[in-house]
Amino acid sequence: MNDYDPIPFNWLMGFQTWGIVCGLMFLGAVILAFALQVLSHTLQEFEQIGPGKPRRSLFQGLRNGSAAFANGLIEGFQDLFWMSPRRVGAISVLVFRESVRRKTLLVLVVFAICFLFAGWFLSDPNRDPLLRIPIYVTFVLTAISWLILPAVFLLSCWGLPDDIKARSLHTVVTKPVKRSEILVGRILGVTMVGTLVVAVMSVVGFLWLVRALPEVSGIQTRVPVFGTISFLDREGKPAKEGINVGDINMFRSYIEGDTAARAIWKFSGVSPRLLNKDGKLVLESKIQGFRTHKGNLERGIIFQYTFVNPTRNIRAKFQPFEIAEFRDSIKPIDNDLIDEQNHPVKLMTDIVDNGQLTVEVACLSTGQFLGMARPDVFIRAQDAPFAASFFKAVLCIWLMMFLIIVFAVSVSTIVKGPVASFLTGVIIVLGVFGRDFMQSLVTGEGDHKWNGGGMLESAYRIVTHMNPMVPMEKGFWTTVVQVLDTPMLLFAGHSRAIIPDFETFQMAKFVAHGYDVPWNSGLLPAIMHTLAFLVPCVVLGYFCLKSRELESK
Amino acid sequence: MSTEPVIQIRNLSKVYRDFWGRKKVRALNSLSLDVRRGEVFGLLGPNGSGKTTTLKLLLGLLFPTEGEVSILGKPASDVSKNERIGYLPEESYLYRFLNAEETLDFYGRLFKMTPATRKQRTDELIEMVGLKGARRRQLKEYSKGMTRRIGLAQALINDPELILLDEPTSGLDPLGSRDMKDLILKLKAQGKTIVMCSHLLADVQDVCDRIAILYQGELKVLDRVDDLLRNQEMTQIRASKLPPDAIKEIEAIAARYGAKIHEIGQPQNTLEELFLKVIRDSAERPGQRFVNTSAS
Ligand SMILES: Nc1ncnc2c1ncn2[C@@H]1O[C@H](COP(=O)(O)OP(=O)(O)OP(=O)(O)O)[C@@H](O)[C@H]1O
Ligand SMILES: [Mg+2]
Repeated sequence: MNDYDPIPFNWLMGFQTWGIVCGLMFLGAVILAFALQVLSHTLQEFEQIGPGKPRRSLFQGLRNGSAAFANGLIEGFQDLFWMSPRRVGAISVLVFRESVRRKTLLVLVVFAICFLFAGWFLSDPNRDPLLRIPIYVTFVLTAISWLILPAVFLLSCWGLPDDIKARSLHTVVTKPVKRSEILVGRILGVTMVGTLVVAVMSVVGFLWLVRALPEVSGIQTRVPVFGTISFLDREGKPAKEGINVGDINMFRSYIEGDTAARAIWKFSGVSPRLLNKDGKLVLESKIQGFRTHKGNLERGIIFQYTFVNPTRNIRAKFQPFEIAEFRDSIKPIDNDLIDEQNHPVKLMTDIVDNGQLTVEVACLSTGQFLGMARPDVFIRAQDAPFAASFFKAVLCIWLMMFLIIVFAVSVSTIVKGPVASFLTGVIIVLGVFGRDFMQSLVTGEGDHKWNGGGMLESAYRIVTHMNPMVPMEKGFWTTVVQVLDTPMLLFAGHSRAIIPDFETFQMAKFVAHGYDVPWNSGLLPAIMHTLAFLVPCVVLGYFCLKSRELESK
Repeated sequence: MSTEPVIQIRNLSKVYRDFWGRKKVRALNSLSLDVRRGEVFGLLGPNGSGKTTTLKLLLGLLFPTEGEVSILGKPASDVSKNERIGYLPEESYLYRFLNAEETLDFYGRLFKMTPATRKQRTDELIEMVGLKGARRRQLKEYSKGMTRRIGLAQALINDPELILLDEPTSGLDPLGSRDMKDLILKLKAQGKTIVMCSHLLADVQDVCDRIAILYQGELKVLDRVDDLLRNQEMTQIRASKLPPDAIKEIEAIAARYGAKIHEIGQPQNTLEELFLKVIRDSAERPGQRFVNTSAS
């Protein structure tokens, strides 16, 4: 959890990106499908009418093609919305049986073997158990991911193409089965196998953890409530960030001691629900000092919380304390505080304003600096059991597995097994390693700065040998080209979103360091990520499957 | 037998294309025919004449290049028509990892059917196709004939009113093919419509009411089997216990009309002769084709 900022899920931005990307992709698919329909009908008419009357062929083709296209679209959406649970269920059970009889469950044996030998490499009884926990937890979660993903990858990439090749799907489609039911049934079937395997592995993994590290069963995980951060500079004026003390990656911003510089956290949703057993609000901090002079080495740098109600202008100081460097310092705050005018005030009623709590942090040691980032100060709600956090992390692995299944099965509706595996593999590799590169490519940050407009404009520049830095001369055609380029640029700008971000599903960073897997910045983004891919994949996969004759060739 | 058409095929053509859309074969050329409710219809033709292609087009497994199909009053692309259709593919394309019971249960689940009915029909069909001893064995262990039998059972799981059989007797032992023919007649007696393809002419002759003969994707002959096999050159007189005197008299009468009696008995014409004649004629005169006057 060090230097990791769990950003809460942003609904608005999520939906906006999703809408733009899906919208443009569907638009592209619709145009392509329409063009293909018209083309094939025109060619047919051409063959029938004869080459003598090309105009008539074109007209007929356009008419019949549009009709066929519209029909297909209407039928398609009906098929997608009205599926029979009975038939979907039958197909998924079939796929489950198929997978089991293809010995997929052997991965469980591999898993077991992993753990038989893991003990040799991991156990070092002399290590501090607190240091062993992260290693063990990460090991278990990684083992589960690395075993389940290849298994479902193969099952979902090869299942449907094999079914078509063996023509067993032939007999199925002579029954009243919709293509959508075949697709969804197969996705669910592989998911059932995957779920079974993940469930067994996670329970076994958990029991193994408890046996290997008996202290785990007693562990509680922190449930942090993060706020937002802002800064005041040394004159007390609002600043975007604090001082950089020379880090390359400026994760923490520093405030100077004994000046008006402050870091201000605002927490919302503060209610008695967050109080601990003694009725106190617990603030936990992980603040780093930066010493410009030796100072008093025996004592740490001193810092202080001030609780503020900006509306009622109440300020209550909490007694200053030393920072515990490289460790977390936990301060339960009493409900009864004294404000700056020495009146007694109540934290939860007088300071907390509409569920919002403002905390100012100051450094009191002259010439020393305190570094802070958003997740460095948080309200610690009541702890959750370790098991809850662990199984939430497993749930995220499951979501990632589901996403891969959905993607791979949808791709396999149109291409054969090897190609489906290749495409899915590319997506996974890009999703794990390539997103940052794509990001910098399309946003034009860093080395990959992007000049010269969109596809058409660039093509024009290439043809006319025009330097990409030279602006286009204004005029009708320039406008046309740029307008046509807009959707492409828009798509390119969001194209990173076509590739799932597998980092979203990695929860080991929370569990291993004793944090609960948060809802807002952990589970929710993972769930939304999966849903965002589910819909377009199933829709496109369905139309691909529907347009096929399923004759193996 | 009513004349209401269960299947209407109009100008149906199918061109197989390769991945790039280049033409490979014209498997079916402007086929038009009707199949009426309650009849057993036979599709005959040499290998590669387009029989299987026709059935697949009827089922919507293939998309027609031209022409239209209406089956049970619905277009071929409408999957809901399959609710009342049973299809036995050329080879049984089934899931080899399932056993007989699981196979029938799986296909049964694809239809609107209560679990009790499904169970009952599964048992009945396994019994009927004679696989009782092998109901728990996986299909990959089955012999060809056994696979054929389970294939037939899956085609009948929904008690269909229209049954399409692609070479139903292929791979079956003589007993099995006798059973198959009896079954077809039994189904017909129940009022079902059956379309079958076959090369086994004796089978077709035994069970079919009407036949169509395809050659290179074109319809050559379409008529009732009885009519087709009636020998126009001959007159057959069937009588019970005709005394020798009467026969003499008949011979005299025939002689008076200038006719000669070849033999007293049944004409020795078989479907096989007809089939071979049609195929030979077609090979000699490629352009000629049967034009269906009752359809369209
Ligand atoms: N999937 C396919 N791709 C390309 N051509 C095909 C395909 N299926 C069939 N054909 C061709 O279409 C023609 C008709 O084939 P079809 O299977 O309908 O014949 P059939 O009458 O059923 O023959 P058989 O008696 O051998 O079963 C043949 O020339 C065949 O080669
Ligand atoms: Mg055939």
